[in-house]
Amino acid sequence: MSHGLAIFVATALVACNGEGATETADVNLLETAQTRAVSIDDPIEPIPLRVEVDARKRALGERLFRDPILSPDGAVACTTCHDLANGGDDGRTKSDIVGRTPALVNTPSIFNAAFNFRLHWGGGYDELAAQLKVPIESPRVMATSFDEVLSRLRTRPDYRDAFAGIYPEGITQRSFTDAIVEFERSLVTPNAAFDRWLRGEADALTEREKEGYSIFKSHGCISCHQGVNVGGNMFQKLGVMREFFEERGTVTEADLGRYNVTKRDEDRHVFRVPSLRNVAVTGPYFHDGSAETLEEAVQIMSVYQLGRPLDDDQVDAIVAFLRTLTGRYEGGTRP
Amino acid sequence: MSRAARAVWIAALLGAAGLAADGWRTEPDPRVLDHYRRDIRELQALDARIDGQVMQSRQALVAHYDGIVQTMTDTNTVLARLERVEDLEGPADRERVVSGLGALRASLAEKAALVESFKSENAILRNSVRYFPIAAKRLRDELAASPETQRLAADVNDVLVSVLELNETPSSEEAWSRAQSSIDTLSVLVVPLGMEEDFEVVLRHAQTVVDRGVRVDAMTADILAVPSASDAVAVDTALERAMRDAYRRADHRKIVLFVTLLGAVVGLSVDIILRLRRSAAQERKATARLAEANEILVREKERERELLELKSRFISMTSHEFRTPLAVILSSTELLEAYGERWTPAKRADHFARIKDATAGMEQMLDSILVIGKSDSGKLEYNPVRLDLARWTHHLVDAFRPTLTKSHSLEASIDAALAEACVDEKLLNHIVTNLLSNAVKYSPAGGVVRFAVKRDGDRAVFVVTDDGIGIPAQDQPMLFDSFHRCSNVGHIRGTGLGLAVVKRAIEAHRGELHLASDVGRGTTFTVSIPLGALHELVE
Repeated sequence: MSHGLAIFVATALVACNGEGATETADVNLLETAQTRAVSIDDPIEPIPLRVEVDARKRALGERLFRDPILSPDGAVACTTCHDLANGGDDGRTKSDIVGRTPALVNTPSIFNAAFNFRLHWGGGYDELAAQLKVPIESPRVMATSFDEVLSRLRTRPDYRDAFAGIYPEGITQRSFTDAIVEFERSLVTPNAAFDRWLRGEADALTEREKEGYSIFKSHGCISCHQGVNVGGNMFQKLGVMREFFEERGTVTEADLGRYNVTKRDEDRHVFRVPSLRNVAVTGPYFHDGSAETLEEAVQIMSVYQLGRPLDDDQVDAIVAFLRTLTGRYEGGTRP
Repeated sequence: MSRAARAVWIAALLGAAGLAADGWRTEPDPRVLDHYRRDIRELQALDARIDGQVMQSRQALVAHYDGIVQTMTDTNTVLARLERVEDLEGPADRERVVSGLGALRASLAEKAALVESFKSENAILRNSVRYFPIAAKRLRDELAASPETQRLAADVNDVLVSVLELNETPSSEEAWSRAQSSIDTLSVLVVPLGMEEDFEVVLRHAQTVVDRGVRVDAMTADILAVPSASDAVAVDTALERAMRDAYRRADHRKIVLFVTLLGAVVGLSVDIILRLRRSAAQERKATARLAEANEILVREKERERELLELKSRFISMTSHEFRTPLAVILSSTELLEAYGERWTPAKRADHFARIKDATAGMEQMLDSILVIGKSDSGKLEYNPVRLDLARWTHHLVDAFRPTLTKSHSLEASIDAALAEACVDEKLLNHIVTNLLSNAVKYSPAGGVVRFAVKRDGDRAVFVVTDDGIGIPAQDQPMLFDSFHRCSNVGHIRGTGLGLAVVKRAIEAHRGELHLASDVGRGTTFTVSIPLGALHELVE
């Protein structure tokens, strides 16, 4: 049995046995127990300071990631939607590339994507390599095929040389994917203020930010947003305590979330819990991009997921905490 | 063993060894199976770890799901590794392992889905477990502060206590119904104005703890009930069996290979031994042949040496024997040319006689050489003619007598009964003339040569006896060799050809020769020639 929970429950029982006079003391014990229960938790882990990647593959991958040669019209690169200088997403509700079908969901950030247990909102992909075919083939993104991309690359002596220098097989889907994934694995943002605080830098957070973290935990956000990515390691239904979609209205296929992957009824409106890493610079929020600001997003979560509203001060404190989750991309500018 | 048979036999052995080795290669490698077993053990450990992590999460012992996520990822990695069972060659093994892995994969997928649901539900439950006492306590304290709502505070406290108790004893039906009943009671009470929302939150989280607690516990039980552990054991058992079989088959192959190789080694050894023995015998034979050949070679060398010696003797002898009469002829001729007209007729006649003697001697010598040469090359002509032997002998003796000097005498005894014989007159002439002239030549002055011819049955016997120097015993074996001259001849001139001719002439007549000699006392030659050739001639 959990130390925290055991003490917490035991204390509560004691509190209930005694009536009246002992009540206040018992409630104090209860609070102590609860504090203890929270304090033994280390629900968020810092992002590792270093990720081991092959420098040559990473460099080639970055070149490919930034090169619009991947798209048939030479207009779209990976960075079109995953702006590395801007949070690793496109800052739009949903991407709407000129000449492409509009996207159905908000673009998730590419930063720290490697730490997510699944990829995409519905969690349809286990690995970066596997999901690569979606942006390549989707009519909403590159609208091309691997064969076409590889043919275009093969017309370029510089790419031929770059691949040949790393991969004996030259330009193939495998080597192409490998290089891009190697780069994506390097897209991590360590050294956020919160991570530095976790690592023992006591004044890395202000009192207000610490208060926000405290509410984040006690209010229940931490139930889903935990782990190294502050999310990204589980699925959750959007609308646990209140029906989100009924109140928003106009349910689309994209709102079915994981159901589109599994076709199981219990997976309707279930989404991969998004990471809150760099959340301050990756709005708008949610799969539908319906929340413009962090405050709005925190309040919606609190009501629909946790079943209780937050007052403005609490929201403000939580947002202050969330802003400390913005890290630094070592390979480029601060996101 | 013939070379072809040996080649076939070695090829068969190599083929057998090759088959055994090939079989060995295509057998599942026990080490590979060992890897699989290590993987399945790892998978079992990961499977157990998931169970542990799920229970820890249920009990809020772990703060986040990264551990579960990592374990699931590792599980999938190991499972993917395990599913490359192409190394298993034995169809039965493969089928057992593959079907076991299929079941394991299915149960792990089931478990993964349950774990995902568990994570979601448990997160909600934990949120409510964490928040419910806070909200309930706040509401209760607020209600307790006012005398009008104190009764409601007790009801809220009932919910608080019963729900917390339920959390302590989740499987208790009684605790569950008490918690549900307290919630039901609270939910129908009239709520003071402005506090509806607070009541709603407390009730919602209380209900969440009650409902989700049951649900999450059921999920935890379901997760633990997924037969992934026993499926893993089944795969492990199948792998163990496959491994045992593989080891046994590998052992069997090893024995086959060993026996094959042993057979090859033994067979080759036997073959080598046999060949060695054969070659030893052949070597002995070859050595014998070699010795024989060597002996022949030595003999031939000896003969060659003899021939060379003979040749050199012949050359030295002939050159000497011809030069002497030639010198006589030359000097007498020159003298006759220079002084012939002034010499007396007697002196001229003397020199002419010398020339004639020398010429005759040379002729005789050439004649002897021809006889010997022809005889040695098997070309001596034997021309028998009918001959009155007694008469012929008388004529010969009469012809010989004039050659005798006054110091020698010849006593001839010719048997009148000799009558006719069939002989080669020329060869017989050689025989008798040579023997008589030798007898004279090697006898001292005043010596008597006795010559007797008689008939002995169907043979004619010629006996020549002298009182001469005799023939030393050591010379007798070589007496009839060409150019051999006895050690005691001194200055008596001769060619060493006479007796060689005699011997060959006698052989031509298939006659016999006997010799009796005492050095210093004399020698007797007895020649016996068959008369009987007559009838051959008649025929």
